[in-house]
Amino acid sequence: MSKENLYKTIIYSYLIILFLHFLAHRRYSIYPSLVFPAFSQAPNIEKSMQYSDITLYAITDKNELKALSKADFFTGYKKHVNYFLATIVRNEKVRLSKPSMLQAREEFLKYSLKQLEALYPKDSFKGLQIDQSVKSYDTKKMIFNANKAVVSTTFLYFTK
Amino acid sequence: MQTKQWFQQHFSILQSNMKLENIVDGYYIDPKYLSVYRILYCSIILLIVGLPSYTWMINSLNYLFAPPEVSFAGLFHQFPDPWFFMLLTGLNLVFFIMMFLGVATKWTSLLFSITCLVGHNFWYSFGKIDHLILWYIAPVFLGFAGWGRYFSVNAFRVNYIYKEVSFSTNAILIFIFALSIGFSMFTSAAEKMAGGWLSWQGEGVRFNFIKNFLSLNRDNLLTKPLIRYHNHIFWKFMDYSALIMEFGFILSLIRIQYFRIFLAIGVVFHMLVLLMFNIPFYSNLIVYLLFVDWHLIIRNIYGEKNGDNFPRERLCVKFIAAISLFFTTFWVMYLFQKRSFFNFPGLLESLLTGFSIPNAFDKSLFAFFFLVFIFTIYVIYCHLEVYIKNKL
Repeated sequence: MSKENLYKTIIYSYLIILFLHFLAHRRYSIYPSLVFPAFSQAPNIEKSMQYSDITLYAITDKNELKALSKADFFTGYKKHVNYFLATIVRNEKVRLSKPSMLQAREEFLKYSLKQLEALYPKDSFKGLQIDQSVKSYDTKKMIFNANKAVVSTTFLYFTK
Repeated sequence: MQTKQWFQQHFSILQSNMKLENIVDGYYIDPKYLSVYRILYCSIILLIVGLPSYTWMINSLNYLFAPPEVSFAGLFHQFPDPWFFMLLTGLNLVFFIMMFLGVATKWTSLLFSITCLVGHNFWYSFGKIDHLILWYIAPVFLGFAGWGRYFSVNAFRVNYIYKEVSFSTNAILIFIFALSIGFSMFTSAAEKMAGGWLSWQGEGVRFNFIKNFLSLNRDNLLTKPLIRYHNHIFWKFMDYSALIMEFGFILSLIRIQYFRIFLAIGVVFHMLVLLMFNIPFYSNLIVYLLFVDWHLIIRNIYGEKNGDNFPRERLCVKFIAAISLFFTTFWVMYLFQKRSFFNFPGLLESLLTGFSIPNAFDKSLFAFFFLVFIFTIYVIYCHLEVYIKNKL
């Protein structure tokens, strides 16, 4: 095989793999991957913009909500915290149909309680609340619109 | 008649330049300079990035285990036992040391990349996937392209014969790696186009800039001064120039000189991303350094004669072996420190942490970005000097 043909074979095969993988990426999440889809949104934000937010609260024994710093709660996992909460919300929706998740859930609740005891040693807690919301921001005046729309609320109660 | 001849002549030159063989051969890098790059690559990991540690993934987080659908980690239902991550981290360290010293470099480079890929598979099992893959897949290509040829402990082995990598193997492997960089940039541009970046009304850079500021509280460097700036033409200029830059990468592959121009633009782009978004996207900067014309730079530093004789192999090997052994011993000590069990931060980060400076990792990356930016200016200066000399 000539050098030109050898190069052609290798490069075209590699390109085909890359493009197939690019197409597959539109349907599945794949790793390892050379598809870099970050920052792809470009809405019209002349007057205002909306973006999703996720907030974590601890529910005290007195049924009060204590807003938690996600980075402090998940110490050492700063970069992953928003994804953690999204995964919990997703898992909570399907956990009843997946008994295999039970033990993992118990372990996570134990971990959460330990974290809360370390953060607030004087308080006692009965669970966690996760609020998914859409926040609105005035891009002209550069201020938050006062009300955020809570899209969903998820509760996780500790078993003592 | 003369015009026709002129066209025929230039068309045949263009045809010859566009032959795949000529394009790929242009990416050949002398193993001497590839080896220089290996030392630089390993030094950046040692000094700035640090080695990845996978021991932080513990069983109490199994409920958060959400690996990518198509991935090695996807074969598991939960995180493997802690010993698996300790073994993986330890092996990764061993392969790194061997790769740095040039011991069985082809295979240790491959194994270093494989251990990184397996570990990162689990690392990204919480839903977040960083696009930092290029720096740890680079050794797969470069190990087989011959980056272990020089500055390796093999120089001390009696009767050792290095099996030379052929010209075309070297060229095609480096071209394929360049193609991987170009393709990743292309996908980024394609996703942006699908997301509406081309539309005149939409503001991609500004939307993501504000969102990044509000939801992740990233407000350092240029973020605060720019957040209040709302000139639509300025933001559209940013959108379109980012698209042209990302899309142009893959087209520029037709000649290494064009590719190098895009790499220099890429450095400026990543610098802007750092200044505005406070995201130090260091992975690409590490691999861009591979394509620097090291022959030109070394000749510029050491002079024409000394530059061509560079390097004095045995002296360099001693120096590199001493440095890498000293610092990797420091890491091995880290293995057993209670405070940072199985954690291998970059030396600059360790130093900054020692002085109680907060966000030491980010700060060491800022220093790296600054150095690469200054170096890029120097490289451009060297090329311009040669260009002007030739013109005169």
